[in-house]
Amino acid sequence: MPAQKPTYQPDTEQPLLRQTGIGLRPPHHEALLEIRPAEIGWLEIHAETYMGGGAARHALEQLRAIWPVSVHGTGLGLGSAELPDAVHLERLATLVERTEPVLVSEHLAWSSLSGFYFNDLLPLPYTTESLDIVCRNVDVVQTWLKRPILIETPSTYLRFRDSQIAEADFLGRLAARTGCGILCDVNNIYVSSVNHVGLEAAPAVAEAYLDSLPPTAVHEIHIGGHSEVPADGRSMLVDDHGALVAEPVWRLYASAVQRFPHAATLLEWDSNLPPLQHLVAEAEHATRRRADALAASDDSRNDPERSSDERAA
Amino acid sequence: MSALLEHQQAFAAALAGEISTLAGMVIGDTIPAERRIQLHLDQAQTGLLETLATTFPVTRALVGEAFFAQMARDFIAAEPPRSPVLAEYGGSFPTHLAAQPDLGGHHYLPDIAAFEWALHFAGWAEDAELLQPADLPDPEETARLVLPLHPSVQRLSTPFPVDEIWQVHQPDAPAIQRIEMSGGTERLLVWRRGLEPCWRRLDAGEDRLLAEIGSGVALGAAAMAAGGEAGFDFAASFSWMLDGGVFARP
Repeated sequence: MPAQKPTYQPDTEQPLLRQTGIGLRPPHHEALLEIRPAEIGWLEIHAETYMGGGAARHALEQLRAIWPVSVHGTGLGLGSAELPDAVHLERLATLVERTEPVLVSEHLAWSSLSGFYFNDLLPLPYTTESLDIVCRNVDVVQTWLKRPILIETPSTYLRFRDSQIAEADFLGRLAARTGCGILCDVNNIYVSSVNHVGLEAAPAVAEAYLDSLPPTAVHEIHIGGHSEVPADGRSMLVDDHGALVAEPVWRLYASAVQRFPHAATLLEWDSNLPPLQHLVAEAEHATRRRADALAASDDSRNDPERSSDERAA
Repeated sequence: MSALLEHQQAFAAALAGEISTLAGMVIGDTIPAERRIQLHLDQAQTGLLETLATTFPVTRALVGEAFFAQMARDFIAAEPPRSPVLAEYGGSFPTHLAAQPDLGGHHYLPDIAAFEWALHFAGWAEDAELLQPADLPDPEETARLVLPLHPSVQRLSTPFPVDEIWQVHQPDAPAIQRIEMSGGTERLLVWRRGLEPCWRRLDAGEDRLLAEIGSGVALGAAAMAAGGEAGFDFAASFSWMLDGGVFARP
């Protein structure tokens, strides 16, 4: 009999649902420890930023005593034709052991080949062959870490002629086969949609993407800002996490919250990093939008006549 | 070979400047495949340039942004990162600089870069339990101890007063400061004290002592070797080193 696949236990994530989390960046260590903003529900670290010792590790030790922490890897390259690098995987395992995170996540992307690291989350063709390979890599990581991980929906700037499987379907099959969860980054989904079908068609394409994800596999939602770059007389969106969340992304976020009410929300900010208070305000805004979206979906589930009677009473 | 590997090799070639194979694999529509690929190449390059600029701010300030960017691009092409842990990327940038024929008159640039790397690495290095005075047995046994240095400990030797040059380029430095280029050898110890990277000038005996200890020589023999240097005071030197967290617990 095949071994039981690991799957996420949603109850361990409940504390994360009350409030939005933020991506932890070293320039905010001091302010977080000093202010301890009550509006922040949890923190997510980039694994590679905390693989050393000294001040960063010390701050993380203090911060994780205050907030639940999630470990978000950026360098395993699960989409690589090669196996995940054993040295890097061992460093991640050590960090996970030390940090005791509530969630561990990585990307549907690759970034290394033949021992060189390309410093970008690079896209892969979605084929039955690449699905087998990514499943193998996710299995290796989950076995090594002895826990399931979440795989993030990528932001993409190009598509391969050889792709045969829609990305959301690819992730769904990956989750079904490996027991991994899905991290639904609504900013990424919007950025990719604009980059592939243009501004006008993007919202509908992005909604359809959300529809295609298996709802029970989605345990985390990322929100963040993007920027626009000129591209041969048109424009493309770049997922640089360097601005406020854009309005179309907020709308997509509301849809995601309604589809995946058990998923925790995390706000990412990397380039043009603002003072902590700006992040806290944006995170608070996300917490309100989540509550509004959930309230709206409750209303729409109720019989409209009965709910108007209740309001009258 | 797997089709996935073929795609990834084409991407690797594109990142090295040859994009035609990859362009043939990518869908071009209202935005051409080449432009889409270029976006990835730009992102990868920009991130690495930012990493080096963050690790070597004084080196960058000394030669200006354009010159620094050119040297950084050369370095990235010659020695691309091998690991996703970018805090560990750039250790050989000083050596790369030293091999350049023209540093715009800044002969001390590689040594400044080496000092900046040492400070950066001191902040990043692994934690270790520090050797405490109470850990030391009686003098005879202490002399036989082989002491590990704290993982942040690095020694530098340079003909330039790099620590002073570095200091005048700090945001809180006094406006004018005269730096004597005496031409003597400066020996520096760079390490982490508590959570902060720090440095201290060493005399020849202290430098020798730490070199011996670092290569696994027992404390007594290391002190003996260092004693050959003029003016070396083992008790005073060992005392500040112990107090400053230079040694890890064996």
